[in-house]
Amino acid sequence: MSAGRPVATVVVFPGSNGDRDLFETFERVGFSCRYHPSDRPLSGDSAVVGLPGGFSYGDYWRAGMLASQAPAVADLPRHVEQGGLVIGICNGFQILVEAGLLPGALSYNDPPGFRHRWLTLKVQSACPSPWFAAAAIGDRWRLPMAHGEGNYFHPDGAQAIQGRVPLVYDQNPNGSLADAAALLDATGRVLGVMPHPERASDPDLGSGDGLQLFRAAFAAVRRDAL
Amino acid sequence: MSLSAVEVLSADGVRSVAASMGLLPTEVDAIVQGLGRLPGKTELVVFAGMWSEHCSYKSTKTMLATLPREGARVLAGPGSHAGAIDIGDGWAFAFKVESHNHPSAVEPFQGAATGVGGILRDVIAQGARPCAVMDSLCFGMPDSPRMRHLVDGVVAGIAGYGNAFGVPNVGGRTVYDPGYEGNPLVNALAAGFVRAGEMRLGVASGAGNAVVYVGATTGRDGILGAAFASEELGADNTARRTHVQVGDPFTGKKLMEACLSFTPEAGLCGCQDMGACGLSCGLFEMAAAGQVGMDIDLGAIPLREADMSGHEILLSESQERFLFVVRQGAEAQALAHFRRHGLHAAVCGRVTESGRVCARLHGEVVVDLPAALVAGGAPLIRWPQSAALPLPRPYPEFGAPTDLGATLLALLGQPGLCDPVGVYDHYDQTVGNRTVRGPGQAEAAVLKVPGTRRGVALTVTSRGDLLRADPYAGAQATVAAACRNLACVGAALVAVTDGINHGSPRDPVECRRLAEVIRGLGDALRALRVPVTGGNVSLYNESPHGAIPPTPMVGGVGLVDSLERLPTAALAPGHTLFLLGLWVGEPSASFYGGWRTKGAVGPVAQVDLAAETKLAALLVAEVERGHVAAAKDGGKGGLGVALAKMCARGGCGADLELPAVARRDWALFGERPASAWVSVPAAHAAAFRESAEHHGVPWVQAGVSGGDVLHIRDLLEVRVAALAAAFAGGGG
Repeated sequence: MSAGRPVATVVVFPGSNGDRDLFETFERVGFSCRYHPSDRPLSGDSAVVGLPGGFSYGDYWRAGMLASQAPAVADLPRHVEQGGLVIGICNGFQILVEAGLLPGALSYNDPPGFRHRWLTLKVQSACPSPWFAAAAIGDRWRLPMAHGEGNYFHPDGAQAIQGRVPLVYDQNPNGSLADAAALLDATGRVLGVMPHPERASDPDLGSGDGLQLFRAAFAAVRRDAL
Repeated sequence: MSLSAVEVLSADGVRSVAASMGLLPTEVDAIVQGLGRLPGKTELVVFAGMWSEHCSYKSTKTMLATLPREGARVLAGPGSHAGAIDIGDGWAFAFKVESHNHPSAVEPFQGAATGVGGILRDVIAQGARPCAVMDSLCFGMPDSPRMRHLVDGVVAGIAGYGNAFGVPNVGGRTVYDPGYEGNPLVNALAAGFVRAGEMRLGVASGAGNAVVYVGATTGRDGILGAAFASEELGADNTARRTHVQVGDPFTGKKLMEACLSFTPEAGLCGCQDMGACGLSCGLFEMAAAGQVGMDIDLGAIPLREADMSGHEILLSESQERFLFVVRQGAEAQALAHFRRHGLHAAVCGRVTESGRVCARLHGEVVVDLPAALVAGGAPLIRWPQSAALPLPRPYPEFGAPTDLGATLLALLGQPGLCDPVGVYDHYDQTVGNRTVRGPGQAEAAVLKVPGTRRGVALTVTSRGDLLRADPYAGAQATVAAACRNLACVGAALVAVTDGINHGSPRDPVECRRLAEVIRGLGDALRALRVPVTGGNVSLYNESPHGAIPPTPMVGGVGLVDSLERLPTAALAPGHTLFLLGLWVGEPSASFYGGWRTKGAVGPVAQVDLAAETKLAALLVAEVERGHVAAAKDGGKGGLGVALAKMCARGGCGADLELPAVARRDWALFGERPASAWVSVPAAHAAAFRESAEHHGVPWVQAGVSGGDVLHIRDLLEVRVAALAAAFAGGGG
């Protein structure tokens, strides 16, 4: 680990498959990144913890349900309390919801089935968040989606997540409440996002729009460290 | 070592057991001669599996040996887990195709899923982390409920395995043709990057080293699947379900991570996927390759069901299993490594110097066989071939349609020509962050070489419809199409993997066709100076409907020097459109011809490989110079359909003029190799013309792109919105 670089941790669950993509993206924006097995408690020196996409434990049960019980996930509330940042992408978002770090639930897509598609997403006004500190309201981002259970639901309706949705689908692909593609917790430090910003981190691969999230997080962490 | 008494068979017993398992009398003779004694019961079953067509290539080995294999970039050729080529910067690219036709016909979801899982493990065994899967699927016409069930099941199976495993599907081909009604084809290609010095061998070595079983438990699924794959399908195959394996991508993913992180320093000596013929294949092939023997305790194999017999354990094709040879002394740490990844792992035996694989169960010897005899001793078969094949007759006469625009729209919506988005949006296309061009984004898929701005281009082609008429020319056309697809993204074809799908070689006509397919592939590859690095042969693709059309699938690999100047397959406004190749108004075997004549087969346009070479050289050179905005070669549906797809994908029209021809419908929709459309930024049009002249490629500067209408003067005028709707409309 190079001295002075803020540390990002990618938690690897059995069946994670976006861990390497997330790792490379953290590194690209300046973090010193490391992998962390989900069955061990978090080490405590990370500025940011990322839960990657994939099919944790095969997702043979409700997506993210088993992974949400992992020791590393159990440590997340303490990490957030101490000012740490969290991002859960796709399966990582599902795990955050299952673990209760974000409200509501993610259900089967409507129309049903796993879909991969490049999407246009719109940044909208939400509570202050280090993840979105550099994003301008109304910006449009191009990110790929790749999921079967991304239909966001909250029993109390859109009212319950007002001000917590920083990113919405231009064309809702999965039936999500309020077109929500991402969700923040009350602190703004915990972000769940269903499409893949870490796969939009290289213009050669179709888009670099997702880098904005990671750059903003890096800037926020650096600022806090000064 | 003497066999357990219960294994011993009489001479008559050997004959009847052998016959019931499909072994030929000559093969039984070879076994008895090779052993110097009668084989036991379990031994016979091992022979039946290992000497099946699927494992032994006994009917095709001689023919396949004629294919070119040498090339400066080839690092691993036929006989490796997967072929591999040197792609520079210290990287090798491993790739291979596999068929799972019979299992998919019986149980489409699991058949296709395990096909993907199997080919991924071949790439992993080579030491590579898979970065892409492609598929080539051939179905009967999609209008029957049974065929819809097959299509949906196969697509769901490919998606279900690849998505969860975490490998992107970057493109493929889906063909609908009555010729596949009773026997669909499911071919999958997998590819991955590996450090050139870190490739792995399926070779056992070092007496005393441990033979280590890793992965899922062994169950009764897929027993003798390889032998099943070497028979014809019947009218009702439901009883065959027990031959089909069940896939578990979660375990497959864990197995990959455990395998790729197990290094020679940690004790790795050799490894092999337990694919067709399962444990037998791993034991005998690795032992034979290393000219060593193995003493194996089948009681050590982790089982799913307690009471499995020796032959069930040896022949089970349960998925997600690897066999390793581990350095003596490193066993404990190796087992701990694999168990940490949540896998079953067990030392099941030792390498010996005997050259024989001796397997015991409950202390009794059930198998004691020379590895070389089992793994390479199947007598080669030269089935009789018919003297000559019937020449394709010309299409029955039919008139040119009066409204070519309406014809184009109708063609564009046909299954197999319309946008297969309904298939590929089920597939994760971007996981792994290597996909530069995925399905529908260009004529070939492009993957980014790690740590560089270079790419590897990949394509799969299959043209059973042409081979039905002329297996020799059709096989050449299949290779030529791969070459053109890659050239459209600026990549020269450097190596191929071939998947041969064919009927029964016992039928002299089919056998002759098979010889013609391989001759056509070989001649085309030699003309293009491209080697085969491995592949797969699937025979006995027959059903009560008859043999499938001969359908070699070619997986082509090329290199892209810079990702900065990569063309798309979508038209954008303001570019100059060039037609490359010949514009000829004469009949040729084509989708159009078959469609107009309700299934007739016409004469295949001869493949001019010199013209293909020139066209590819021009495209590669002009892409390199940054002169090509979009390119698409003339393939199925001809130049007319190719152009319409470029318009539909780009939401852009064009205003064009082409030379007058006798039959405008054949010029638009007939299929001739060595043709392509290229859109060039106007500023580079003059330089492009010069380059085309220099390369000796016939060209027509046809007009400019723009507007919302595709207008070809005196031919057709169609709104782009109508093209897009037709292209999108047909579904799967």
